[in-house]
Amino acid sequence: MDNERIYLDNAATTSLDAEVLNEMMPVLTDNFGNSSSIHSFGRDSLSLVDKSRDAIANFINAKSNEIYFTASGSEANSWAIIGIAYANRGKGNHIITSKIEHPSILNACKYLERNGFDVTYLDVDKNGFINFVELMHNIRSTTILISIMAANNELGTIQNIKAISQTAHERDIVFHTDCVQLLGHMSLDVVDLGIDAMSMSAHKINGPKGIGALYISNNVKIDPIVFGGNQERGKRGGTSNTAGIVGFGKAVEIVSRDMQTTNFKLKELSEYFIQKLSSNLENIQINANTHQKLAHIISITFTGVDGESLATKLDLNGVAVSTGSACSTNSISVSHVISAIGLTNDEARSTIRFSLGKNNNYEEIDKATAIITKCVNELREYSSTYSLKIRKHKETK
Amino acid sequence: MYSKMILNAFLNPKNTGRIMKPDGIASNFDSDNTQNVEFSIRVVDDVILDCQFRAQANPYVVAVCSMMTNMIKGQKVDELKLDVNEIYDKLGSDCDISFCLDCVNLMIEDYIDKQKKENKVAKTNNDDIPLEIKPEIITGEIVNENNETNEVVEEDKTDLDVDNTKEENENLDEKQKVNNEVTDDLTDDDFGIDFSDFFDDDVIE
Repeated sequence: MDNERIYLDNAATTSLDAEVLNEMMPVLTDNFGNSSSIHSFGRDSLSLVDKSRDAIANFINAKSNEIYFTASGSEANSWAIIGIAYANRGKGNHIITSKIEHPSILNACKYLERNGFDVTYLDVDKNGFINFVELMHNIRSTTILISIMAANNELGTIQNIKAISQTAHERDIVFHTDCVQLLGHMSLDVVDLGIDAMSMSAHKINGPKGIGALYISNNVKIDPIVFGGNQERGKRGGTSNTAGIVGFGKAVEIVSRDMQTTNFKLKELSEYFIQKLSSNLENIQINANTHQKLAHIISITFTGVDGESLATKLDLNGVAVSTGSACSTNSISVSHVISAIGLTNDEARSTIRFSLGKNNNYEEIDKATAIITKCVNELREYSSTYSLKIRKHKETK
Repeated sequence: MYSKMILNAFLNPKNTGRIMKPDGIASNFDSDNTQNVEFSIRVVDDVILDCQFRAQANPYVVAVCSMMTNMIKGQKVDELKLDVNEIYDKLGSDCDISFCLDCVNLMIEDYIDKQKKENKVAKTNNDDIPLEIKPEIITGEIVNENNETNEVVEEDKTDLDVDNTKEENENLDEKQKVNNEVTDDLTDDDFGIDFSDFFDDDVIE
């Protein structure tokens, strides 16, 4: 692959696996049929789509008819929130979510708020965990949906999904979880975990972009938000993205085959990365320093350094990272997740997210940490706040 | 995301650091308290011999500060003039830089305070008048890529006499016309100048 540049932004997206591409190529070239058509071209496509649906269903212990393909994880999230809210409107109009959700959840909730729904956004602690007492305290008789992300995209924090789902089910509330970041890093059993709806995306697990999926338990009512023909059992219109679906299925297959070794490697690499960086640089702060997290997502605050400047400098030196969240880099606003865990605006601006992937190796980490050290030192050399902050920090100690 | 010019200037910022025992120094935060800049000057015989900056700010602001220090150096302190249009011409207008301009004002205020403390009297025509210097900062129209808002940064012309202001405004109008055509994707060729030369230090003997 690319020998010059080092990609440390795998939480934003991952590279397409060669195996996945191989599986997709015939679909892009030969099996072009519309999976809804009755002729053999269509039937060929349909069987491929069904095979992928089965693979994904198997992986999360769901039934095949509970998997609905969407165009993205964001669509799956938006659909889950809006579709479940409207389908269960007769029961109530209250939704509970957290402050650190993906924008596709938060903005869908804001849309519902403008349309007569009431949404509670739960606070999180400094590691990004929601508070159970607060969750229970906020449940009302009108609560119809709780949506809490499984693993956070900026911190990696993994929530106690099972406990949340139990709380929801005891009160007959639907539980949805945004599982886009967690998928492929942990074995997921939707029945055991008590998940009613779960969003997934292919491009975070070395699959193709433009394909996501929503698992919806057959016991849960959901309204469609994309209308069309009878595709996806009439719940999600639009011609099936056969190549994408095939790629998603293959990516899931690979992930379920290699999950243990990949996770072990990612954990080792991440620990090496943190250890190396901590020994090279003073005054850095690892955010969400907990064991219950995705090891490969590492959020670090570099005291006295502007995150945007550092990310730009790193990019020009061949290291790709993200400031807070890849989705919010076009705006100057600080990351809502980093703010939610209690960092000041100033600290949030100094925070960078590194996310490692299965294609990274020790050599790259060595090279990357050396470049990061050099860039941080260069920026600190003319930082107007660094020396002052260090002095203040020492005084408070 | 950033133009080549901004990145060039960001990667090789000029005049970084803090002058030892400066004659004037100030630092300032932006409105969100997330970015900070600091300017310091050395003044000899009313002439700004050296101007340095430090910053914890995004690449655009670093580039702007680098350019501003070069513009400030060599000017007479009581006639200090900063034309923001010049900055927009070269670097575009990525984000609000009013906090950098305010910082220059604060630095000059600090210079005056220090002068007063040292009981130095200004070399003005009238020795009885206490030294009061207000830097003349010509602000330009922010060229917004999305054309959503064309904010005009608050103009700092309080100490200018009327005739002077008129002249400046005429100049400003002309410059704004040019400015409106400027986009963020400036290349060196657009202005027919070698950008690398632009950031060379002005050496004052």
